[in-house]
Amino acid sequence: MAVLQHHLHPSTLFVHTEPHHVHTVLGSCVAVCLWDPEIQLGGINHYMLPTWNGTGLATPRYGNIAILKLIEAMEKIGASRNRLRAKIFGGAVVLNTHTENSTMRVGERNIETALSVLKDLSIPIVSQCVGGISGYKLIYQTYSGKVLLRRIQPTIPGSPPSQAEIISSTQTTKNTQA
Amino acid sequence: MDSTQTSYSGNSTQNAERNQLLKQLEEANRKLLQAEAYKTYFLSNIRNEINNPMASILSAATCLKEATDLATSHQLATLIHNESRNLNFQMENLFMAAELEAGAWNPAPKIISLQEATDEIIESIQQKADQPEVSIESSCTDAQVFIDPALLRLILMNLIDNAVKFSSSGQCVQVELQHNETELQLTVRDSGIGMDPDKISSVCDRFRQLDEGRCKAHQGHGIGLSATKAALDLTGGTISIDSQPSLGTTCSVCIPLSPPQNHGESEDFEEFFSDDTEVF
Repeated sequence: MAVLQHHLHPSTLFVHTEPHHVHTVLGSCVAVCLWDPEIQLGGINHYMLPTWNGTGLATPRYGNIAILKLIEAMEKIGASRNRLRAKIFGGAVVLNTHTENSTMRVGERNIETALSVLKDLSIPIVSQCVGGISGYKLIYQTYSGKVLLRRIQPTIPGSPPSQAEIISSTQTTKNTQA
Repeated sequence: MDSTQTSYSGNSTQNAERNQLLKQLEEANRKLLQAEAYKTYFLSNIRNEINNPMASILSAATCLKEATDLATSHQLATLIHNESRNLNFQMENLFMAAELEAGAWNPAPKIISLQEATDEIIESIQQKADQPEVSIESSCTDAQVFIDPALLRLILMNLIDNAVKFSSSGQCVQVELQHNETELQLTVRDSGIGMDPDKISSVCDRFRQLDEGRCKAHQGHGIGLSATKAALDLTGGTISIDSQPSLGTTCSVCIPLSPPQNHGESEDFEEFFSDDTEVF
């Protein structure tokens, strides 16, 4: 099977009927990967901010827009909203923003948006690797739904979680939702 | 006593947070209603913006078919050319905005000659300009830069077009491009009608035109600057606007220039760890 490559820029999304490896880099941004098990195809977005404030263009720069647009794009290639499953990644604290000020907690608010929008749409989250202080390089296999991650060195002081801890937390989430 | 104080303090904090959230919700609601109003205005406005040039083109083309002398033919062909350019510019902005909103626009940078690209865009605007008496002066270093030509075109076309549109006869629009290894600084300066500083923050809003209504004096449907802003957001660029009524407007754009990159397509998969949930 010939697999094509695509680099996913922030504020964009990717859905294609041909099998792809989608590469992206996440810091405080969040990527939502959707998968339809029946048509065996997946799509992914990469958003930077939680919600669109109604002023500029309604682009996938904003989580509430990006998730809906991704679902619409998936439906255009034959996916069904009822069958969709989600994985979410990113939302790290990559700058020195350990603060109570909500405008600075972009990563955390990006995660909250994904959880809230997917919950409202009744799309189950089967796996997540979110928060923390490390960014990630991510590869999404649109033909299998599998995600490969590589941690990027954190930019704030503190010990990053170990690989085992992350996988463990991922599995915990998966189990809780099963 | 201490616990009462703590409890009171806790309630007070909760109330303050609730009030803050309420204010944010009200503000979000206000902006969404405003956005809806702009959208309605856009839908009614776009009919004129597309229909009028199209009607002119059809009418001129019909006359051209029957024209017998060269001078008339040339005049009609020029009219068709100008109107087509106007229409093409509006359509380019609309398509770009649609692609940005769909999350389908991906920057495709390549090495281009800054001078050549800028001259081409300015020439294109000069041919399109309804006000040929407004001159455009440019200052640009002759260098090869790694940038998406469509992004550069979108920015320059919209900023210069606006500057020309809001200038008066005999005035000059100045375009300046400077770059270093990491960024391109682009400035478009006019001495036209300008605007109140308190309006500046809304000029990049979707479908927003400061000059609205049936009798508006200038063409456009308020999508060019919002598309420019969204494309800059996507590429990590910034735009700042400085303006004073009757004195003119200066738009400054900063676009990051990154060297050609391998986005990891050839990276070794073994270095990655699976999220361990292969099957959804």
